[in-house]
Amino acid sequence: MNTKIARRLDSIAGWIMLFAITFLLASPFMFYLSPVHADGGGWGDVFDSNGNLLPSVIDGGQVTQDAPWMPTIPGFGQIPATYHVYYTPSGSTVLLPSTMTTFFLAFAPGDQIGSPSSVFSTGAGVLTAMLGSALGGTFDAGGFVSALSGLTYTSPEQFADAMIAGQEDIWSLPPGDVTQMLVFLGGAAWGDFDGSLYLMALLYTPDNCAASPVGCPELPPTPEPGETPVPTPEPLVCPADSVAPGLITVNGQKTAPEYPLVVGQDPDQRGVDVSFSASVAPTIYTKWFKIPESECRPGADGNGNYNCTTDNGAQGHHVLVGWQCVSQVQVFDECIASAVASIALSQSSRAWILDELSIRYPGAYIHRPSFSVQGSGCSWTASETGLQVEDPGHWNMTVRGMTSGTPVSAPRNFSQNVGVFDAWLKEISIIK
Amino acid sequence: MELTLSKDTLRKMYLALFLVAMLAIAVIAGKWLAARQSPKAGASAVDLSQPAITALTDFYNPDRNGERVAWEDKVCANMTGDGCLLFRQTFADVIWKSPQQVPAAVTFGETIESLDDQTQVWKVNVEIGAVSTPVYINVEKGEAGWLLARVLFEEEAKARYGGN
Repeated sequence: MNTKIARRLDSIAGWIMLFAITFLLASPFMFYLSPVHADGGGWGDVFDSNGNLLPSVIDGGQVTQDAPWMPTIPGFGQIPATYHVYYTPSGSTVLLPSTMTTFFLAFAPGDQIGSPSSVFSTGAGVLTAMLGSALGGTFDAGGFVSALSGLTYTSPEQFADAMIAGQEDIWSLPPGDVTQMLVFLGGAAWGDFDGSLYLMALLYTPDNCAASPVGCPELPPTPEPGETPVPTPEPLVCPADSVAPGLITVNGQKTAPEYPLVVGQDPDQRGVDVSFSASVAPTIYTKWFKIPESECRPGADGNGNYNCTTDNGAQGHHVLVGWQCVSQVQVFDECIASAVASIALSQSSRAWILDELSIRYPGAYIHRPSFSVQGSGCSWTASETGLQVEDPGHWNMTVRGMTSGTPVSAPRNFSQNVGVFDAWLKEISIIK
Repeated sequence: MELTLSKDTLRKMYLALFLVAMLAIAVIAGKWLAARQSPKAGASAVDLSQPAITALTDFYNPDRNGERVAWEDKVCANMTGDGCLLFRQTFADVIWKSPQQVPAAVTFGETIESLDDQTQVWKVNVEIGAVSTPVYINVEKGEAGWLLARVLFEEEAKARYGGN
């Protein structure tokens, strides 16, 4: 009990310290991103001389994007990267990655954010501070170091440095510590700043906006005096996401001999050869996105800036002229989970044996009216050679089974008649 | 040499032999039963009624016909405090918006690791349709049993345990 209370007190103290350190670390950035001072490097397009967000800056809201460097939830895919986006009339894009996005971005291989025209933060410096405070504030150094058996870091900050240098990653930490780190990054410890505290700002000027993870903004220019404003086209309503289950294909046939005799009258007891197959085409999941379309109009935009070249080679500016729906197609393979083929003497043949054939052959009876054939495989196949058919007549071939389902579609049952073959008596030229 | 034994002595010898044989049978049978009932190496006797398994089953089966918050509450009911917080902040949105709609079944695999912070990592099997996926979870002992702290990310499971 005492240990439990001590652990809880320790945890509370840790959170308080963490909050204090984080607020201290984050305050300069909040100072910058809130109504405060802004200077060159393109930031003048975002803030006025008093640090207020310029009225012309458009809040693009929160944008999420699939990113291969974000962690993956088993069975559900990756946690998307999240940015708050602002657009300036001159076509600059300002991205504020969420703290969790900032964190995983820092350890992503390669260049994931293009080359921003200006980065407001020192990148690794911010991360070192963030990691240092997270690790140091949440865990006592002794416990932290001892948890990493075999490692020689003497402080959380040192471990943070090793992470920055790429010698360690977050997954080197015990799962419980990772949980606390992620809770910290998720902003739960930040009270009023819950979910809205940004430690990094990325600015992409129009000539460089294609490098931005969210691409280029397509915005109408501020109209010249006397010029008719270009109306912003209404965004399209794109089709709903759709799932198209793959077609189930089933086949079956008698492969030999051409005219099977019932085995009771065949001195070689040859029997019948049959083969079957079943497969499922992939399921197609179609997801729709809206993307803006623009064209380059000659002349400067409302701020006197040029950000494109027209087909005639003249300097111009981008204008949003419409929207386009673009689909992303995901293909999910599906298997035959289980199936069985059956061969059954038709009802008419059974009646014929018992009612008519028994007159010519007194005591005639049905020997074995059905067989089943097992198979296997994702693309299912089954075959049987020399099936000992003892009863004459028409034999129906059927395949029944179930598909495996995909992450976007449920398993499906199927049953299909795939053909008929005849088994003959020597003396009887007509079977029914 | 001739050895003469009385009937009484013979009776006692037979009785002694019988008792020894019964004792041996009891010991062997006991060991056999114990071997049958004890879990495999690395596995613990964890039943499927553990809160962590219930939480994980709910985690993988969001009821999209109901309210999202009701589903989150249901999952959180069998999670630790921090685990619930992280689930709501980071995991819930991805899962709720996922196109995944096939019912998932969860079965316990084995205890992979007991950690210094008194938590454990379990390997469980999540069967979605006919596809079985190994999932690693961090669990913490609570009053009602083992609570779900977090589902480990694929990258994390791969880095720590090879992921299979």
